[in-house]
Amino acid sequence: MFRRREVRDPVNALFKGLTIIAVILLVYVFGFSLAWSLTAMSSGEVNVSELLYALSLSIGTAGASSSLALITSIPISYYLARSEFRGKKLVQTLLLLPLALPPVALGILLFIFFTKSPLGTFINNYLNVVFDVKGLIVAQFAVILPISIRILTSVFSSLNPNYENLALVLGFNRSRALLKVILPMIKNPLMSTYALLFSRALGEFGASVMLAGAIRFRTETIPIALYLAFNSGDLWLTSSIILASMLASATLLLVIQAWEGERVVA
Amino acid sequence: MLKISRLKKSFGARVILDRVSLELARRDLAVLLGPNGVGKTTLLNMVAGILNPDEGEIMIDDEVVFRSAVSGRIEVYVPPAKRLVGLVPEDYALYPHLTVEENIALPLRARGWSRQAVKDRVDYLITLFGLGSYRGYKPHALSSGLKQRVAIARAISYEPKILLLDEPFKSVDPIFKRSIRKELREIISELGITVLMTTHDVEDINFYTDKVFVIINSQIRELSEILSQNNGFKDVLRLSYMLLGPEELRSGCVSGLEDATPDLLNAQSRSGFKHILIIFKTDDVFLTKKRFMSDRLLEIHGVVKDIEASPEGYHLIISSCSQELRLPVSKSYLKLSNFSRGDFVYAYLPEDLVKILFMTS
Repeated sequence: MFRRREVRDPVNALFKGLTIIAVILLVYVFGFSLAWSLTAMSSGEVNVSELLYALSLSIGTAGASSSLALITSIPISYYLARSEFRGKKLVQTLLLLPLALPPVALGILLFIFFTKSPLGTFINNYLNVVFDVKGLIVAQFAVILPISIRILTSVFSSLNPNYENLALVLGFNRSRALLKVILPMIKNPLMSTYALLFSRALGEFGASVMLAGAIRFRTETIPIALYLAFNSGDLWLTSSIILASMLASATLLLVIQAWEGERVVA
Repeated sequence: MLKISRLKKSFGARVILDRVSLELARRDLAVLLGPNGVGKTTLLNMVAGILNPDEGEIMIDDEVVFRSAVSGRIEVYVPPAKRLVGLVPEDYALYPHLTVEENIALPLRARGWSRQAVKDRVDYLITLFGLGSYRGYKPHALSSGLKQRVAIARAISYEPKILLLDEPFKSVDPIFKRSIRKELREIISELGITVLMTTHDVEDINFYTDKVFVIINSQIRELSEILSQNNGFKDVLRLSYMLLGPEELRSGCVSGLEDATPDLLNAQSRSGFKHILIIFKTDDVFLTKKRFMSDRLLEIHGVVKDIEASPEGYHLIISSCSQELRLPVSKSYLKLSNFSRGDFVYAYLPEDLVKILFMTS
């Protein structure tokens, strides 16, 4: 039996070396911090209620904002993928602009809108967005909507238009064809997009802090709680939040990868 | 049944179909022949209602489903769902997330059939198309022949007035083409439905001979009419063709054309034709391994790719100018000439028995 020998290739060796270094660094940083946190936890004061509050608030707001973003971006992306009109490039750039903006800047823009503009103050008076849980949802929504539009536009563009056209011949109208045939067909990409949006919303800090503030037991999501706990030197809370969020993101990543593995045959 | 009058469609500055007309009677099985990109699929899509013509009128079963004034203003537009047309696209477009059964049931659900009616109809079609053992399969697990059957079953499930088939044999393995052609003809005659199918393969018109239309120069014409204008091609049976581009003409895979049409290649730049279509009866071909020199013969040369034996006799499959010709040969002549695979052969046609058409698209 012959064993296949690897061809000696300096570029390949370099890439391999870089990958190994990255993995080692990652394991070291994570491992050390985690071990340090665990020892810190054993000597700290117990503050379970704040951890649970932050955890449930994060899951709730991220769930709400990613659902809203997905539902909003489906018609927009479908339209962008299927229609040709003058100034399409401009519209696309405008819709994706928040992606390139630092979240903090986006949060400040939103804050100014809700406190200074006539429309914004009107909405804020009725719905109470600024320094409130609703502000968290709005901030997360603003950050993840462009991501969702970006992904779904490419999903819809890669879909053979024959599927939609045929649905019309088979007896659907355009909106029912989208709802009953096309969306079920792209269920897997939709779910993996949702998971991605959810994980991004879960970690959203910059825009949230600017619009909703960092108020304990009110607008205290996981990253905000982490920021508050770290600044006030509460090691137990800091470490337990890190552990909880690491578990949560690991689960999410596994789910995303499982869904992405099953691509639609289009 | 289907009546298309003065239909015009252009994409940008390019006119695809220029005021074409076409008429089918009930239970007609019509074939629309033409090379790729001449507007066959466009025509089907316009009949189905997916695409709107620039002007003209489409009638299905004495009902106007589309009419547009010369100004381009649409006067009548019936949406695709209401036209009762069955469409089988070239790629079949079976929904990948649905099983065979669910794909067939989809149009019935869309049309609000009751649960029991859907079940009965799907059961009937699955039996009719012999799909019993594939009910729960997803499309990706099916062969192209089976996919086609599912797509046809789905297209006729709601009893459309007309069935449109776009290139039904394009993605079928050449080995199975003959049996699938036969199978499709049997299914169609059993259903008793009006069919309009497109093809770029002249072989197909030997199997579906009721009515053959050709798209030439953005016009639709009936083939029998074109052929009878010239000479004795009254039947389209055993007809074959070659479609050549100017490069292939220059490279000389067909000779003898220089005399048939003087200054052919010079004229090409002036008249702007992109292809020539050579139609002939395969019975008129004389096959030989030796080269003749004659002014009155059209010569096509190529390599024997295969020798086919069938109940109808022997056929040589000859590849010539990036095309395949299937030419009949008697058993005794096959033996005498000692044809075998890889041989270089010459096919000769008397010039007066050949029809040459110039195509601008």
